[in-house]
Amino acid sequence: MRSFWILWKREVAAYFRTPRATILLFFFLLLTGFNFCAGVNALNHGPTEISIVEAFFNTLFFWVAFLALIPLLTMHLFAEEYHLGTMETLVTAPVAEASIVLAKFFASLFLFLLLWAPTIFYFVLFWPSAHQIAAASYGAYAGAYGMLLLIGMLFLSLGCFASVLTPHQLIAGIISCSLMILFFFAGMLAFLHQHDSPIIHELAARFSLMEHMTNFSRGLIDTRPIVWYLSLTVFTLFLTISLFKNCRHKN
Amino acid sequence: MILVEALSKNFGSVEALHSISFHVRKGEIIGLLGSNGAGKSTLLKILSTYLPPDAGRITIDGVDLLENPHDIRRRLGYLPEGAPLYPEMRVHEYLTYRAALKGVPARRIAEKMIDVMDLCSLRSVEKKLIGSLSKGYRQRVGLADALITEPPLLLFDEPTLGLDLTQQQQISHLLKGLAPRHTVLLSTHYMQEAIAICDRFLFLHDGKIVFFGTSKELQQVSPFPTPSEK
Repeated sequence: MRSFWILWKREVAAYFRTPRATILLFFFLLLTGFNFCAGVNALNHGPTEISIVEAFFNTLFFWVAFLALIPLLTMHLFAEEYHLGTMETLVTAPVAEASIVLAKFFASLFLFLLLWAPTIFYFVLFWPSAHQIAAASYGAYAGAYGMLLLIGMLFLSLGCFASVLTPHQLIAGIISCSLMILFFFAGMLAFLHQHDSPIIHELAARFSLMEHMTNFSRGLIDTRPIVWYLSLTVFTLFLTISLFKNCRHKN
Repeated sequence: MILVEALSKNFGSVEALHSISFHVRKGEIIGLLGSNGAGKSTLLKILSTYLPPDAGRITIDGVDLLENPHDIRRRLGYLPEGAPLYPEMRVHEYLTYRAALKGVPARRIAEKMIDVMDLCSLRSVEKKLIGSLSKGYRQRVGLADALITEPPLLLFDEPTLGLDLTQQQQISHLLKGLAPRHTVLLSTHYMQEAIAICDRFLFLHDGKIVFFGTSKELQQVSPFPTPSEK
């Protein structure tokens, strides 16, 4: 456990020792701020049943920001160690491979949460400026941010997996992007086959990221997607640890 | 200290090490010599537990390397070729991190840092970014990392490669002072350096041991005088 914390602290500090975290935070807040404004503008067009929380977490800008962020947070995690040669000194220290993988994963998760944390203030500021609450219940906030965490964990674990595979950051980024897009568009089948194929629609809806986010941001919290995302995250991390143990020296 | 028996390693169709066996006594400094691709780095990578061997058995201090790699890692300090380091860290940050990672108790890290920085002459650059250091200083940081836990076994892969003569001599002097407290395996291209530092030499060629012995024994088999005789 001690080595996990030592590695985790170094990984988190590494984001801030280079301009990586600052640049990411700047552009990420720019994009999410624009997304929030777009959501407010959409609500201003007339009476609607959706809240600003639901509007914020279900736009194209939101998913672009979300999907672009993950590779930027994860592609360097292992690839850079291979590239610098520091993987040799890292794994020949008395540290378990699982600690290395988990420390890198949780460091990226920490930065992911740190980047999303300021968006809470958008909703806090919404109330005094618009003279109305951002969502009908606290469940909508908990649901939206909870789902953000769950999908974030899954995608970050996919990013770690991609980074173990190659010493090239760009290739790791492309692999993690491809895996995420696969997940994203598998769920999109639910919308494409809404009318012509009810079975495909039903099946795809169960795995649809957008469907889950829509429901959770309305405050409709279901345990099945929670178990699904947690299981997949644990499975991907397990796969990453096994791959790292057996194939790290091949890079 | 180190017992290697019938060790083999292949990379695809390339045979990097072919059933090599040797024994290193405690406190010895062994020079690994040979041309590029002879298998020196592969041997050090296997001994450091970074690479798994394809066949053979290695015991270090009676501990089997394949069965207990974690135990072996506690007993060794390893400097890979090119001294890979994190360029964005400062020297003292890096050494503190490495000491903690290798299990040095928090209350003893400061004391160990002073010792190792004095030994490797790093006090003047301790607050500098590693990325801004010269190659010679980066090698010293790598050496300090390997030495920080005072492990019984030290593995150095080309520690003086690319350094100027003065830096080479300084590092050679430092390495020579490590025996008999440490057992050292040192890979080098420089015969003169090996003769100045090492007790015995292990010559590798195409993954096979072609000579393993002292400089005196080397004179008997070599038609050429060693640099010390010139």
